[in-house]
Amino acid sequence: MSAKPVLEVRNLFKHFPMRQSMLDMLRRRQAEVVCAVDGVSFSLEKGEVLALVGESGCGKTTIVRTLIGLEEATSGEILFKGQEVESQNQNEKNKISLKQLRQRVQIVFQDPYESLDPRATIFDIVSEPLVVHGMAANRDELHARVKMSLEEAGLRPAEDYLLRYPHELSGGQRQRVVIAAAMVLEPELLLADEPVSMLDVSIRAEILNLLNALRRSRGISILFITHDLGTVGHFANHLAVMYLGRIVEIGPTAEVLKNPQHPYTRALLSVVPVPNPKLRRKMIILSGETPNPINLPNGCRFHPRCPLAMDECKLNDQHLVDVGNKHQAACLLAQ
Amino acid sequence: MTVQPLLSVRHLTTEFQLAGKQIARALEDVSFDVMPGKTIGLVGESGCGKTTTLMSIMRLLPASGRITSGNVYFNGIDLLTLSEHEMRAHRWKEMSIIFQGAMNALNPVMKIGDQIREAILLHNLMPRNAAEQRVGELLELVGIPRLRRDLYPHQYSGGMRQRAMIAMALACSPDLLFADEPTTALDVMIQAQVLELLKEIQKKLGLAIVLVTHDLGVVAEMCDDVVVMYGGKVAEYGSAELVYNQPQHPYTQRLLEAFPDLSRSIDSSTDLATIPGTPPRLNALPPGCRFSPRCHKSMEICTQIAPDLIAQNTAGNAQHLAACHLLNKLEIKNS
Repeated sequence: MSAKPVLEVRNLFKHFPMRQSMLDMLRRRQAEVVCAVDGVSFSLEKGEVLALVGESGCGKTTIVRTLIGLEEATSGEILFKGQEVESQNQNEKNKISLKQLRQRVQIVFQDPYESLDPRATIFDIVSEPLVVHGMAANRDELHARVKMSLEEAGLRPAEDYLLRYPHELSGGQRQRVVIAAAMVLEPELLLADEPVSMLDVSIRAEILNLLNALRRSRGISILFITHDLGTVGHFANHLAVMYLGRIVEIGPTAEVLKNPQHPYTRALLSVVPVPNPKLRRKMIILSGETPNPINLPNGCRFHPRCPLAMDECKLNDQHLVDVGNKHQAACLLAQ
Repeated sequence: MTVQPLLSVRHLTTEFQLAGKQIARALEDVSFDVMPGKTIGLVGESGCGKTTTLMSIMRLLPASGRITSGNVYFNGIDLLTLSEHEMRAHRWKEMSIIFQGAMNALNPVMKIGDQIREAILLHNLMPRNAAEQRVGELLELVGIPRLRRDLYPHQYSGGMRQRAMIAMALACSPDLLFADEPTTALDVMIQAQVLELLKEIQKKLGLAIVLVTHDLGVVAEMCDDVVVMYGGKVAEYGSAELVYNQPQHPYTQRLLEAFPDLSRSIDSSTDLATIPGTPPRLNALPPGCRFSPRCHKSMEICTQIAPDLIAQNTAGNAQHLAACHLLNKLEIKNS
């Protein structure tokens, strides 16, 4: 029997109802709905990295928040190692409680300047998860585990950092502290929400290498959220491109990058700046921005911005189809 | 006939007074030329003096900063000898700036159109309706419909706000535009749109642009010349093609290797190259070459004597200079 995937998401929907005016309520008007995540499925195996790529507003962050139970899914299933996660703390049988889930799934946010408590020392920050989950028997063990986690995150020697405050550290060091605090619970899945987009080029490479090293040594799985396809090639095994709450293309990274099928993926790829002035290419620049997920266009969601749109695209809402090599794309032109 | 540079920065040195009478030398001996209608990129990690260079040229340093030596010639006039009153005649009318973080640089309680009109009327004597006409032209120039002039910044998306900032910077038809990290907080697609807009405007208005960024890809797409800065000094300077394809300074070489490049390889099993260590603190600069503590090719002389910029042999009249002792040694060998 093959091992169950660490994370499996089946047909996930997350809709946010808009606030209604009193008048509309009295008129019994149906509330408008923001379809942030609209039928997303994927799975993540042990030790693998799946990158979710898309512009702001495509639903990447909502997926992360739903996975960790900060938002409740409208419908769909989230299976963690084959087990369902309970919706509220109701002690349902055969389901993982939220507290257990948050021990085994940890999250790294985008902004290392804002995700650390400015008045807590590094020791406080990294030890807090252990205290919350009661995972250290005594103070010595607490110290030992915090130190180990910091050193693993590349903050050596750990003693130098324990009593310092976040403002004394550089951006890269702060992001290492965030990673140390996430790794101290020895999670099986790490959700990394744009972990490097605020960082300088050289530090960006260091953080990606660090995550890669943790993946190899600990065998953790990583869901890597980014808007930058440039960083994906060196890091993720699998790639899913999102547009307006849907996955429009998914497959092994090298396969998708070398042979992109969806026009949106092609456009995203073409605007990744290449560090070589001789290779300036024609960029496919899409006009406008990701449309509002309230008034979704009929047919393919991408057709109003698609350079290759045909009449059929206005009617047909194409779902993911296989194009070979475990590669799927949601486009009528895909083959 | 040779074209005179629009802006010539010569041996610019800027110091900051820190608490406790400490002095941080943020810029030392920075020189470069900006030709009319061309784009030059200033690249480097955070804290290498890119923004300080802009602020020194515009004479917008905070009270603790002081330009201790050097000259800044704009159209042949040394800006550093002007009184504050005279400087105002140049600032914004002839050179203007798009500040870092367009999100926060706009006044949140003032309509976008009013902010742009304010910039026009502050520098030009003209009737209100003529200024209003100009606001409309500027908005159209940057691709914002005139009707949106009466919206407030929070009603604009990030990309639109950046466009509004560009419109404001162009209010008095300057010859030179400084752009400080104009796309750092934006999505790749919006980044491509903004860069394309800058290129278009440059073509239309014959504007010279100084682009400050840490993103080597953006510089490669946009710039004719590049200045690579490290620890407040120029490490390498030359035409973009030469600097990217034949980088001479080890710092430039490492920076390019650390940049994830989809055109080179797609491989998630290898680590990205990194530059060990962190940039030097400006109040505790290492002796000799500032990059020597992090340099993989460091020699004894590097820790003692700071290298000068050495001109490289280039075909035609392309310029290429780099500050590294290794190049010196080769020159001795060759002669």
